[in-house]
Amino acid sequence: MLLSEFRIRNFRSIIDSGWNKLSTDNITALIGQNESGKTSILESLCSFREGVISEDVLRSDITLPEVSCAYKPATDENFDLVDKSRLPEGIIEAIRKDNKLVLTRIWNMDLTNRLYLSGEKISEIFDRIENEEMKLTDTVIREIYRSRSECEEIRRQIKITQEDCILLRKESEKIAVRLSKLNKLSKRSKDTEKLELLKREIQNVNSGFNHINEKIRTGELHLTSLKEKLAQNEMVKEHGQQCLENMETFEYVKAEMEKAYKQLIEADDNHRLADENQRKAGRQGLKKARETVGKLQHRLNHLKNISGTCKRLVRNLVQGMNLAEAGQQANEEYISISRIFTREESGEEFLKCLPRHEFFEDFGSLLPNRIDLDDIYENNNRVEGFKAVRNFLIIAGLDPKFFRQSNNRILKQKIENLNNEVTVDFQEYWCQNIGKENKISINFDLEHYDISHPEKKGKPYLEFWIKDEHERLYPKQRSMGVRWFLSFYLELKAFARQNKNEKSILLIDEPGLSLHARAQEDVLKVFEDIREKVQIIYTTHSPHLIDHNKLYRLLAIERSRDKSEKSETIVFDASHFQSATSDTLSPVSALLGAGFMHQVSRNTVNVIVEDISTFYYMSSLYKLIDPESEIFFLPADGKAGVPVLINLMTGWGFDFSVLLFDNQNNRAMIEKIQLQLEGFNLSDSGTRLILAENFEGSEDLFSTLDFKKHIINKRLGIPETNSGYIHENNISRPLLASRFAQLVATGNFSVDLLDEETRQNIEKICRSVIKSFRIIKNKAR
Amino acid sequence: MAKQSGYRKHASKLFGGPHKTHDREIMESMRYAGLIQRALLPSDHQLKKLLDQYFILFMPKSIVSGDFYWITQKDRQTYIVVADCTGHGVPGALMSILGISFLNEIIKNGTSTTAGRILNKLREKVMEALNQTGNFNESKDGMDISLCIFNYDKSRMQFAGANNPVYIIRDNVIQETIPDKMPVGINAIHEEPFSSHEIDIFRNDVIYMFSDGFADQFGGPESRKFKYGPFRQLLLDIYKKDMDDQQLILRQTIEDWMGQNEQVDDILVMGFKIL
Repeated sequence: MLLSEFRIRNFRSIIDSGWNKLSTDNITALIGQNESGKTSILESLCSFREGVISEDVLRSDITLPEVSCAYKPATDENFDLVDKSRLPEGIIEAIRKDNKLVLTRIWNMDLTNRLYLSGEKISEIFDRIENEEMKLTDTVIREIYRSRSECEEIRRQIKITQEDCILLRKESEKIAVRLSKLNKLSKRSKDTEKLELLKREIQNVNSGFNHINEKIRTGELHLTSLKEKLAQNEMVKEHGQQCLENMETFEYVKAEMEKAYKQLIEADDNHRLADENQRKAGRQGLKKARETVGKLQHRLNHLKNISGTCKRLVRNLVQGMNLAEAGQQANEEYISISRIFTREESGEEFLKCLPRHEFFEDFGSLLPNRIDLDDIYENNNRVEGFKAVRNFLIIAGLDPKFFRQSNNRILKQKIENLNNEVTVDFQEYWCQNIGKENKISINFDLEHYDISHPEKKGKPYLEFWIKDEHERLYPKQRSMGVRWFLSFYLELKAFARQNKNEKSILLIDEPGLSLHARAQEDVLKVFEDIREKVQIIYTTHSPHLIDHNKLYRLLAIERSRDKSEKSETIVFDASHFQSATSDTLSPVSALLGAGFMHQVSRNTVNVIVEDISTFYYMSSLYKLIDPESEIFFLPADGKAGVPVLINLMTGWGFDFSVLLFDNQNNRAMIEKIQLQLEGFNLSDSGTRLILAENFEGSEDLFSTLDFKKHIINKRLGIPETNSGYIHENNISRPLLASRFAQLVATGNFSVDLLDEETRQNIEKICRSVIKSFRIIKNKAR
Repeated sequence: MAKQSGYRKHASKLFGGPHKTHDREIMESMRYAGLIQRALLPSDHQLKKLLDQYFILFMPKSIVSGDFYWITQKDRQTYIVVADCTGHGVPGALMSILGISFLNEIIKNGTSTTAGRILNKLREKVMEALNQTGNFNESKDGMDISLCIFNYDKSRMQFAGANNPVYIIRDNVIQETIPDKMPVGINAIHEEPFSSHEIDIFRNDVIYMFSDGFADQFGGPESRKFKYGPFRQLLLDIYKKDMDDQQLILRQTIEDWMGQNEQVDDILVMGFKIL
């Protein structure tokens, strides 16, 4: 999994870098002037992984630093280190769908931080979970208040019903007495008429009696139901009350916890600042503060669990479950929910899968002349050159214990073999000759102190030297440049070897400052060699640390030119270089001029072209048409640079011609050149000025179809000229041109892949160039 | 509610019902669109001036047509186009208006020199106008075209075709120039450049440019397509006749062939004689 994009906010001079994509081939260079914010970007990426920042990172406007990193998972990435059973549903699917794992770390003013899983879809999942919990809290609180008022109401209803029942019972008793009397009377009566009347009355009273008894039964049933309802509501009320208390206590403890945490940080700071006498007391204060924080944290967790369960219990009671059932279900539900990671816990979990970010500021541990084996065995890293020697042994694949080997023959043989292996590997990268024909080699040997060191007599040590054909010199007798490169080589190779099973990201600040241009190019070779295993992001001012065919690897960093903005750092990717200043892009411009003296000579055919893009296109196209071509295209820095180059080339006495494209911008310059310089009149047959008529820019040499197919890689309608399309859509010309140059440089592109229109256009221009040179050469003869 | 029903009833009486009113409005718009489309086609005067002996059989399937023809002269060269846009009726007509407008822009104002490059340019314009990028769910419309550029000074013509060929009849022999098998518009997989064919022309050559409407018309006793073989034979039979007669014969033939069948597509055949 490699870092694919980053976004930095409120970190030193960076207010908001926006999302910036890193090169997909694992090497990204940050270019820009001093103080532009390049190192801040490296530091922020390092801090993101470690979580540690210093106070000077904080901005004066008290905005909180925030770094987001997006990683592209490998196709076979299974996130084995993540406990997937505890992730909310849909997280892994969302990461796979976006092919992106986004994590954000945000720091507080007290430099504490929180890391969390972010990204649009991921945030939606966590928001949904949090909203559900908040909704549950709202519902529960509402139910608690409802149950309180409902209890009162039920009690009132019970009272009324009970009173009604008492009255009805009294009435029933009265009727029963009356009925008994009537029954007695009817038994006694002999009068048939009177008896009939009595029977009718008994019947009426009986019916009333039954009616009242029925009402009493209904009342009693209602009373039972009311009592049951009251009991349920009482339960809700009682547990709800407890729930509310828990929630309030949770908030209170949380506030206490925050206070205690601040005190802990203060105690920690005081403990560091205090003098020796106060330190003892400070230590006690710190211990106490830590204990308080620990206890509060424990209590907070406990309260969180209780509140979570309690809320669910109340909800279940409201739904009509009995206490035992409601309690059991609440418990089970909360246990399963509390297992699910929060966005912060998920962040920490995914952090385990991320590559390490290693920040290399300097490679100061230079290879020493000698080092005692005892210091290596004891891991004595304060000894001079310890790290360099340790790296050397890692690269050699040698465990220090090997030197305890008693068989001298085996020891010597192994050392000789290793010397050869390390030297051969090193020589692949270090291409400079040390003033002689042969290259340098690195050697070490195992020696023992003799009598000249009586205190160490007989003890083993490793001795190093860097030798060429005739000289065998200790490292310290070599130049700083050689020693720096060696140290850099040892560090990076050792790092790559140590982490061969683990992806890592190296953040390197200005590598190779003290190196010769050629050696800086060797640094690039080391990067190329390890980039499969290690992703590299480095800052540089040097054109020699940039591959001119791979401009997509660059991010240009500069300070805002808008005075209304607060001197903010702005990042441009290669497709927006047209918006960066020429100062920021100076390594790129210098890079193109770097090969100048190697290429320009009296024997080559030198053609001045107006800009970098034209240089890329013409060099590549010409190579396609004539691979053996000796034509060297020389890029000016825009149209204003053309007359300067003409003067330089004339001054140095080189043969050259000038190729210009037929656009509005060039017309005034063409007029000027024709007027001011001899041999550049377009109407002369022997002119050195070649005008690419009907082509506004070098991109127009391609047919629209070829332009779409090979340059922009898009299928769409382009009714305007190719150069017009680039201009309209604000696309970086140098980036497109360098990509094409790179494609041609791979050797996988041939002229047959271009259509007839493009081929005719190129041939037309090439004919003009060759014609102009025949004239020049003829004149020279 | 009662008020609304009353109003609707009243409106139906006045305008002959909602559907009828709507249909009538559409028909009127179509007729007017047809007039505009015909106004964009070259006038008889223009054709007469540039071609002298010619005929055009133009039988749109409906009021407006997806087939169109176009002619212009620039730098002593005569450009003739016969095109068949995707669909017929209104969609085809909209495409044909785009086509005419783009051809005017490319040929009259542009610098494209060969027939193939003109079609390349036209395709770019169509793709841009219809936002065609090769994605799903986007318009795949385009046009089939035959484009001839005549240089009478050199007795040569250039031809580029997008699915539509051109026939030249000379001494009782019909010579077919095969077009590129792709439309002017987005292609199924990727776009290739259109080829330009250089052809010598001679006096009395008769050249035919056409859409697929004639050959694809269903009819006859077995209700099948007319097909290109009989179409070529028919042209061979009539090519020596007067141009107006040729048009009449072609019209009569296709109408007889069609019989009671419905016209399936717009029909356009253009013939002219090199003098």
